[in-house]
Amino acid sequence: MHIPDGFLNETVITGTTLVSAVFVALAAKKTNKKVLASPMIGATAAFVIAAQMVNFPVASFVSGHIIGGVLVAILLSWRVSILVMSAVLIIQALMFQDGGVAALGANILNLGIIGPGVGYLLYRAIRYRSPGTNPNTWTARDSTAAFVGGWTATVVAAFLASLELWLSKQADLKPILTLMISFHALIGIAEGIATLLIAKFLFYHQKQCADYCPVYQEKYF
Amino acid sequence: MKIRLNSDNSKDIALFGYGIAAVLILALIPLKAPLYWHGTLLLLSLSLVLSSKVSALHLISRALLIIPGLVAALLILPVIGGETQMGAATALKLTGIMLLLSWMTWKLPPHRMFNAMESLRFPTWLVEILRSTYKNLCMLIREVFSMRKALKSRIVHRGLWLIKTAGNMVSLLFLKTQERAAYQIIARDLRNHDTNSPTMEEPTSIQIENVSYRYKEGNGQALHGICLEITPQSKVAILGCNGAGKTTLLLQLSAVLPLQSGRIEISGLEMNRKNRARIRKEVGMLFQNPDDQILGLTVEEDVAIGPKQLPILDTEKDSIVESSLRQVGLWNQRHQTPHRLSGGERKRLAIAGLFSSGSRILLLDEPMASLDPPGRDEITVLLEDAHQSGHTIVAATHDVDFAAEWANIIVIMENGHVIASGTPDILTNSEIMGSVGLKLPRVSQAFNDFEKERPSLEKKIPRTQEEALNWLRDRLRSRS
Repeated sequence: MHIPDGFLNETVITGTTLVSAVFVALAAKKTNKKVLASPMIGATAAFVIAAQMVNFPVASFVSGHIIGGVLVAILLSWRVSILVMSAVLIIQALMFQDGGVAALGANILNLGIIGPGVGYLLYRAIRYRSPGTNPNTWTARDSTAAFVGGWTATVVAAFLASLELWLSKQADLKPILTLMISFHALIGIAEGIATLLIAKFLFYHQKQCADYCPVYQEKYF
Repeated sequence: MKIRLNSDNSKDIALFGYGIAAVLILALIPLKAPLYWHGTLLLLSLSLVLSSKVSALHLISRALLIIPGLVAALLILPVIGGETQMGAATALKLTGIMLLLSWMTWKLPPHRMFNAMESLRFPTWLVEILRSTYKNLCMLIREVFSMRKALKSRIVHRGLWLIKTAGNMVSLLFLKTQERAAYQIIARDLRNHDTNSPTMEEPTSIQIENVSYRYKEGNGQALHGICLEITPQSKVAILGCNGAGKTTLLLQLSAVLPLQSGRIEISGLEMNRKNRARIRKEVGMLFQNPDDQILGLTVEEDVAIGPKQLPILDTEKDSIVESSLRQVGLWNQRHQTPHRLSGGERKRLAIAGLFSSGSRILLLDEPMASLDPPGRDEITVLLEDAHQSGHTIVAATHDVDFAAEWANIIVIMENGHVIASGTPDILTNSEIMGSVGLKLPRVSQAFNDFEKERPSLEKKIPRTQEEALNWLRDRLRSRS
């Protein structure tokens, strides 16, 4: 999941940090100033951290947790999800010793930018495949779209992590690929299910959200 | 490169800066470098940790978290093609960085870490996002724990049903998060004032003429042609059952919801786009859940948000903060994080924020909600003090007893209409109260029933405890 400190060598660290920094800076620049300054990003990031604390056992002594990146991308948009996941990973690295501080660039790239990006792309591809898709209903196809998006995000993140570990000459490519991807394929199932359930629930309860808090969708002066 | 320094900040900046620099140095040593490089830096970190007297518990909890990483580095990776020397280097690096980070987090609590980041010219938007995340996380973790307990107590069978219910729990958590974010947006809007407006001198009266409001989604027409006049320095209680429109009216008065029809005038200021900022400075609103309105990471920082926006000296700002905190009785807890305070203390903190912003009109949404009796007493005393020092207070509540004891003007609302308004004697009028679905104050209920059984010449039913005592004394005296 998150790459701890000490595993990557200096070239990989610098390379991934530069790429992530560019993406994050662009995302911040292109986001609406009001959204950037609003507590929405912070609140969602807190939610993702809390959701990631729920560990479930995958194999004998390995446990995984959901990433949540694709979920945030579906609900808020890929750009904002980059910022949310960066906040999540920074706080986790500094305060919870989950993922390395020097490996932040790599983790943000895997779990915040490319992983959810690919997942979101697949979700949209499946959901809006034919031009006549009605965005106001949630069908079985949308459920599959969410599931596939979630699963792919996890597997892609695992693939990238294995790549980075191989580039740091920590292991041979084939064994580490098989190891990581096999575990994360299982974790990905849980992520897919979680994305699917939550996205569906929130789709049907959008209006209830507005009722719950009448000012939720009001425009102020 | 200019770095903003003030005397108490410089130590934190140094701590944070050197800490991160050390972490990066340790991380960027090539993995193939001789092991004793890593070893030396590890020993240096260890000596740093030991000399700073980091608590053993803190250290051990962090050390436990890196065990999977160590296992991976020393046992798994060499098996699948890594060299043992690199595995050892990784393990040493991991331990060293863990020590450095535990030292840094021990010395620097989160809010000071964020302040140091900001002073070191990290992008402001990033630091704000981190602050907001941390604050929400503290509140959320509590909720997650209580939801987990609920899950354990309600779900007996494991398996798919557990997964589905856990999924529901996570979804509800997300909804709550978004709702909380929406309220925080309002609170932040409310606390950002116009810095250049002078202090208002006019009397703090409120005039509401024919105001109606309709929500675009959900509840529909919330207010139908409300007309009210509130004189300066009065204590107004707006009573009504849930859904009567009380909160909507308060939000209109605090210039959060736009004025759709009618006219509102506050302290002589007409409610329109131009005066919005001045009105927000004049009117302070206390939300039902004080957590939504506490925007700082410590008690002191939160109360300082109001004064910070004024063009006055730093010493004056500090004195405003101190006087507000002393007024509410939280001066001794000024360095605490808000989520560690009790419910009553958080309400007092939110009220301190209102005092420090210089609002002369206080709008309270259910001020007594979820407070225990000592908490209620504290808030009642505070409100009395505020009234004595010249504030006008408007409280929306459905607690008739509180209104009976406290208010001097009563407004009764139902379904967006004002049913009655006037002196507190309305509260003893059983027809009006009954038609709206409210009960008489507890003190009055028995006397009301007694009057029905044996009507007497004096129709006045006591409203407060004092009046009840006097009533009883009069009756006994006239008997004997």
